[in-house]
Amino acid sequence: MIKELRKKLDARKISAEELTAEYLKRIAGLDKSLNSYVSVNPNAALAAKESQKRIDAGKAGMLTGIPVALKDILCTYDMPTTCSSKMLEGYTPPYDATVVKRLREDGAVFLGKLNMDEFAMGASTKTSYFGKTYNPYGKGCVPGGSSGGSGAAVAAELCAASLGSDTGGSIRQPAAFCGVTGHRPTYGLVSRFGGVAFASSLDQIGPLAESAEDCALVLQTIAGGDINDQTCAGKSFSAADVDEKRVKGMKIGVITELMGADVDEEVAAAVELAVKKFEALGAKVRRVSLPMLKHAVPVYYLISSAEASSNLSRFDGVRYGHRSANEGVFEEMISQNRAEGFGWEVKRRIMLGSYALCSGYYDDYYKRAVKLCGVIRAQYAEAFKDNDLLVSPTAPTTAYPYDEVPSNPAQMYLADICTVSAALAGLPSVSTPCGYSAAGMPIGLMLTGRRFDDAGVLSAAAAYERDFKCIPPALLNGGGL
Amino acid sequence: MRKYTTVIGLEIHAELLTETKIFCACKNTFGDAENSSCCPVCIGLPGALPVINHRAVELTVAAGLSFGCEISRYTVWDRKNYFYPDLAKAYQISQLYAPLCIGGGVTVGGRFIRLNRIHLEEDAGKLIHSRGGVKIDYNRAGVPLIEIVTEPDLRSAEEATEFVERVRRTLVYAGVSDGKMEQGSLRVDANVSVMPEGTDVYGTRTEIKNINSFRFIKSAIEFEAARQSELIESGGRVVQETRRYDEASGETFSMRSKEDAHDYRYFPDPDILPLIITDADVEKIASGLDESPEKRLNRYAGYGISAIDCETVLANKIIADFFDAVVAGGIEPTEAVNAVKGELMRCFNAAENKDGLPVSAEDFIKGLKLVAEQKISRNGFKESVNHMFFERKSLDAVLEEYKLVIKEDRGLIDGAVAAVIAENPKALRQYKDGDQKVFGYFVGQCARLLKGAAQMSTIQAVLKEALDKA
Repeated sequence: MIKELRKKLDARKISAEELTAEYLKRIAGLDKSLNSYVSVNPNAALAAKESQKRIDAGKAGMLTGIPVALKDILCTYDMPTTCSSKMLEGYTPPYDATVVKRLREDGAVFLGKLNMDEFAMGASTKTSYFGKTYNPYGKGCVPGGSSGGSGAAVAAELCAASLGSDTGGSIRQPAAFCGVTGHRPTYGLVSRFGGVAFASSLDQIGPLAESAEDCALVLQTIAGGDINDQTCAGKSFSAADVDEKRVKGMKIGVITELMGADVDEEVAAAVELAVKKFEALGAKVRRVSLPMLKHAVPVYYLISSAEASSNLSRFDGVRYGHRSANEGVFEEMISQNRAEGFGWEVKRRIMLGSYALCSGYYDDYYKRAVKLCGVIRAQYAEAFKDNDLLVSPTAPTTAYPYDEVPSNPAQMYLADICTVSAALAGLPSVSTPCGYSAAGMPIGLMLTGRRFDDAGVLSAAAAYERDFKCIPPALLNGGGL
Repeated sequence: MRKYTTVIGLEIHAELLTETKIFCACKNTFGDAENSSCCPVCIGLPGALPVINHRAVELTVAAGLSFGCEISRYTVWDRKNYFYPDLAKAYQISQLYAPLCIGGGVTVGGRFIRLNRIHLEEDAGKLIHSRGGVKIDYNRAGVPLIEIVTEPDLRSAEEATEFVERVRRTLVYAGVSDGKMEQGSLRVDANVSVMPEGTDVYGTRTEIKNINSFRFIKSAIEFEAARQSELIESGGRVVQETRRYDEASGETFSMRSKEDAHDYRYFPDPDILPLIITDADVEKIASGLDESPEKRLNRYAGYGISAIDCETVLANKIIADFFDAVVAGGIEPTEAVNAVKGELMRCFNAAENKDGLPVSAEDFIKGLKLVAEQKISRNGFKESVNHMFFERKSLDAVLEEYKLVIKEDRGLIDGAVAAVIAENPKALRQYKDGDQKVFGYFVGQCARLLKGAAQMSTIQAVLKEALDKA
């Protein structure tokens, strides 16, 4: 899609202003019911005008004039950044996140900020303070999360591409639920500077788009070293390295632990079909067992909650953020601010994480989780000796209706089984649509690769997408949500 | 009352002399306008990330080498989590599990005081209490800070004070910190307990936080030790707690008990990568280190300078460096120490700004050489140093302005000599009879008459000639 738009813009078939206006009109019409945006950029038309000047001057980059949208966890100096939390309602940072800066420099036009689970904690956008986003495929379903707005907006064509963030699956699972492509880059490929931290050792910012090719074009712009982020490895990424022909001869392992009884039959069947397709494309497919994955969910929730409990401590409402009407001495005041500013899921994770770090429990919980994380990494390293890619469903189910969201958090967390382990291992992992359930909901196929082989996973996804027939969401056919 | 031994362990916080803060590019300065040296990183805005300042690591290693610590080859930073208004992120980036420097020690009065560790962390902002409420200045937030932790080896308030002075001096000489307690760049926490003399079981300790002057170290520890021993004598028990020293009353007061102590929930900071320090890194830092005060002391003793004079010169690195420059410029060390102690330090002690010297060593050396050549008098030298120091002028400028160079007029000298001889026929006779002692008398009389308009050597030569002819 991006390349087509690029051609149209460069050939003056459409101006950047017209393109942006078209998207803004679509947002004004469709997003009332979809609620994928937390805020629409009031300066989008102005930005489009600037981009058009660059196009006219013959200085257009790949994304110049392309309308994109940002998960509301990414700092923007000219738009509020709320993390979909009451805590940050109305907060506008004084600076741009590195990824935002890079998109701006390339001339991308920001349409606005996208809804998410509060502070990226959740898998449905249900925890957003600004209301839930719906799945464009309808049936009252969740769009997934935490980057639910990013997935829904791409699926409903309310932006050409979007950025999300993935801590334990927050890009890939909404991509799967909304029938789009979402890529979690290798940890350290993309700067985290200016992305509001949830779990620093796991957070990665990445693209959601209509295709693996589009994801690669966005990734190419946002990737690369950053002096403001020590954990950023300083490696760049080139979309030109994405080559569908690489699939031929690729060794692909199907993770048996993620194809078992916990996975919906429809989902497993679609993934098996996709695997056959890869064989047809010349890949060598085999089964791989990663027995340590059974520990991935508790390990993930201990580590991510521990880091979150510390990262979210800064939100005390003193310098910025929600300030309670009840005055008090320092401790009382910040307790009030935090009690009122955070939602229940955030509070649950802060409590869980604080507990895991308490003296006396540190060794049993946090330290043990970190050790097990090392074991999971080692198991992946072992698997990648014989395999170029590992394949599994992105989620055990398709998107479910809001009224079926499990109320038991432990049960809800278990649905993250497919995505968390690649995050724990810091590996590049993409979700691409591979089928639809009988009810018409999209099914996601997840491809995970070696560290910094982002081009490899995107190549395989692009090859698979070539002949895959996407069914447009109900919303675009005039259907209800 | 039984006699008690005081047992003291110290935690000394010293701010490092880096250009920029520990995790961002903000300037590390003191005394700037409130909140003028801040950025998203040091005020902990959402999304900001720390990036380690390698100069801060180097200075910490330099401190470690100065105290004979073992330098860790693998070091990590940890988050110390607690809520406090001066701590914007609600966690301090510090080092618990793998500090940069381990062990080492300092000899004070012949006793070796062991260090437990030195680690590198960030300073917090500063609360400014006023009638209108509390303001927070974040200029200090993110200033690199080392914490030097001792073993409980100190046994008296005097020893603790001397220890801190030793540590301060070493840090200043190594260029690690300016050691200014009055500006808060050196702060001390003291862990104090008492045990009956002759026993070796430590009592329950209390911690006195944030002592900010040498005088207060002594008085706070003395008060606390007396409080504890009196408490035990009267049948009470010392409670483990954190106490605050009140400068006005000279007493310590309870801040919080052990039960209220924070659980800091330390864990490795995922934003900062572990740092590998190689042997080559350590060697490079070691080779760049200034001579330690202890080594200088030995060198000065070798010059034949008295122990008291050595300490006087070493007490301030600015003075010691100046002294070394003067010696390097060819002045005899004993003469140099007298001139530095006398002429220079007289001005320095009276000066308000003690951050530097307005007199260059070159001018100082030149002046001393002019005295030796009798081109200026000793008093003229003293006067010129004074002018150079307080008027910030060069030696040439003050010699010219205040006409301090001796200008000889042969006629004037001849006249003076003739007059003195004519006025003293009795002395002349004694001289002619072979009494050489009166020569000195003649010299003195001539000098009095000439009032510094001639060098001694000239007077002596002219006088000798005239006396022999007379």
